[in-house]
Amino acid sequence: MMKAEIKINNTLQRKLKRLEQTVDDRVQDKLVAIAHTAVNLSPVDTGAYVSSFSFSTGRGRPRGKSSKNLAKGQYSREEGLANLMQDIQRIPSFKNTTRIVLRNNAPHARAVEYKHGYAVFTKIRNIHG
Amino acid sequence: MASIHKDIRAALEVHLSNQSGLPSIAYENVPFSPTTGQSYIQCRYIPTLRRPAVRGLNPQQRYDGVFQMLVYSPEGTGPATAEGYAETLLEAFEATTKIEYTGSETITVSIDYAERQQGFLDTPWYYIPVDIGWYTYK
Repeated sequence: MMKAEIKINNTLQRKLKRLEQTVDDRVQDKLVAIAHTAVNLSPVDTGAYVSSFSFSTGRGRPRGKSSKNLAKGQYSREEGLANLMQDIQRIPSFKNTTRIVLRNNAPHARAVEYKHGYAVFTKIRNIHG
Repeated sequence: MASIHKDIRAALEVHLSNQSGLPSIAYENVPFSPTTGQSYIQCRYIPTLRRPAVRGLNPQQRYDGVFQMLVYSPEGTGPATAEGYAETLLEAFEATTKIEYTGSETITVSIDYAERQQGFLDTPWYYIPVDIGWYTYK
């Protein structure tokens, strides 16, 4: 009988773990960059649009605020960014996530994108791929 | 280059206007009154990035952006008309197309991608967005 013993190199294991962490960090960095772009490109009147962005992995209802009956400046870019950062933190593991979607469920999101010409998602796709 | 965006826009708009079989085009900040019942295309020039292409002093700059066209057709007539025009636009601005234009100087605008989005209703129109990703170096 022939046999070959293969020794598992602990160093290799550690390197693979570090690589996984690097991938996680890179994905997170990318999501943070997208969040900043989305918020900075958004027009702000009542703030309903900018605070309606969300990252989702498929479950749950996306954020969506109507601007009706809201005062000017009721919501801010900072709140919009905080919402997205919270969504990123809530993703349990990037390793087990195959799809993360940026959404804006404000009822007037389409008008902001095309009718008023802000093209926020169009620009995000162009800048971040 | 102060006039680079003027030249890039002109390159894209001239390329659009040279395509046959398209309806009237509404250019940015040019008076246009859509006629109810007649299709038209609204175009927008959307620059996104200007970044050094190389390291060092006085680097060449890379300009990126989107040329967005909204294809409008009359509401209630089905999607085929708008989709037909959208296909024409996708073919005219297909990825890797190079558009040369001589304005203040000769530039080449390269097409990175051409894609369409789903159609939407905006009474009395049905419209399909077509996004053309472009880049150039200067």
